[in-house]
Amino acid sequence: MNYENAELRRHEEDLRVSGSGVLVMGAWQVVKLFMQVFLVSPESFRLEADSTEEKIFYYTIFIGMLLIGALVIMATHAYIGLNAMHAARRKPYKKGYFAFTVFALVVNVLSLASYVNFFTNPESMDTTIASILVDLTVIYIYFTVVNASIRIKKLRAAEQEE
Amino acid sequence: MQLDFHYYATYCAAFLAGYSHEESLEIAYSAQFVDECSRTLLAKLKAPSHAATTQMQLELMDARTDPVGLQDITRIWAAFHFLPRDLHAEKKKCGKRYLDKYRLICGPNGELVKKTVEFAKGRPRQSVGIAMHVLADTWAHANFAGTPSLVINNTNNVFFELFPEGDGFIEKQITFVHKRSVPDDLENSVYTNSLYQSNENSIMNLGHGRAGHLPDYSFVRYKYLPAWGDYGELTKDNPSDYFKAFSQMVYAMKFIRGVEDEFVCNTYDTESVSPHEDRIREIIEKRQLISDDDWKAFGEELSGKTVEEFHLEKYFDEYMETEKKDKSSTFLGKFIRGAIAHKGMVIDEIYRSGNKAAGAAKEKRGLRFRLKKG
Repeated sequence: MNYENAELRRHEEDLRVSGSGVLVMGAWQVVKLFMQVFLVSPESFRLEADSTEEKIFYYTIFIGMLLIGALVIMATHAYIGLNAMHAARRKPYKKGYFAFTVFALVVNVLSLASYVNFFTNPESMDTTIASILVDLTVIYIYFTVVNASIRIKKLRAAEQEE
Repeated sequence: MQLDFHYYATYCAAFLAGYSHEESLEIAYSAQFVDECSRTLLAKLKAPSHAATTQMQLELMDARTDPVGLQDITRIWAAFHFLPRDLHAEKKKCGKRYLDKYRLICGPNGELVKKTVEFAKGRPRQSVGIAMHVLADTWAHANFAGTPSLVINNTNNVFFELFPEGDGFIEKQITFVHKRSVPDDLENSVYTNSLYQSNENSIMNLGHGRAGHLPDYSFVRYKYLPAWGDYGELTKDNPSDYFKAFSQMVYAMKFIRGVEDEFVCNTYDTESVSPHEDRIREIIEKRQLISDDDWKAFGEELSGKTVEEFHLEKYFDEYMETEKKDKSSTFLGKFIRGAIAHKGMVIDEIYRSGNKAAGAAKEKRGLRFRLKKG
């Protein structure tokens, strides 16, 4: 058994799997966005307008903005996830994914602070805990992308020197 | 391994070990019959189903994969096709369940193969054939386990065929497809393997299914990442392994005949084999799906007699037409008794090592089958 490049392979596999995890998380964020708008806060969908034509206009704008938001979320996650997977497989990739991942990681870590107030409401404790678990998973995935990317860069550099 | 090695090559090895033409044919038939003796066939013969030495595809499709079902599968495959190399292998940072499967990984020159060969000594030639099948498969099926396990038997796209060039090898990516009706494409390194199933205990993860038929081709050299290997790269040199398997079979059968005093692992009868080494290596390294004709021709050169083709139903009439009380003295009756005895021995060893993956051994004398010697 040859363990020469075992560590490099392990991190490449970590990067590939976490990259696909980012894609899945992106899809989940889009679903969560639509659920938030139509199920949790439907009052934001009730627009006050004088005429039917105006209502249609405002609804069209609203749906359009929703779709653009979903597109931005999906595009961001796809950019990070796909480039991470390509980097793992030694295919051409855009290095900017690393910066985006670090940014997303920091944002997600800071967003944990918003959960402080939620613990005062015992009625929604179960959903709060579920939310925290999902967010922690997202943070772990982003961290794995960052960590694996750094280690892969070092190991590949060492491999090339040899 | 395939019929070419289990039947024809075993015949050649038996003849070189000193058996007569007829005895070699019996041993060869028994060795190949291990790959044929399924519960379906035994039901057709009205023979005991627990003598099964293999499971056909349709049987596997219906097989249960609950704990009892898994033990049933493991009993057959670990005993006859994937004999464990080291039942006391150590692996750090893993649970008991994983360790039990890890310890079932097949490989040559383990303690169990020594016990298998010694077990066959003094027993009918059918038992010798069974032992030779098991011994040969420890070489071909090395590094896979005879239990359905994704974490042990899985492979991934890091799978390369190695072609000799100069002092080294050139690598060619192997492509796996799932079309069983289409033969393997040797020219383009396109082979069939079992479908990826994320379920740990799926039948698709039994044995070397995830590597397709590659372990059974004598000519192929390849490297891949075994799932149990912690990202380590394993290189398999089938031509070298098959030659060692052949040489070891000759040595083992000489021991069984009483020519050698003991069977020692990592020992090969190079003396008997070396006059024919070039011929054997030529057959082994020839790039072809089936080597029946070449091995047959070699066997006929050795013995000077016609090596009849493997005929599955050769001994069926004898078995079915004999009265029940005398069935155990027929050819197939002896094979059945040998298979049950060998299986019991292997399960016993696995159980005694603290591994329950193949089920519990039957401690009570009344339940344990003992094959009479001679």
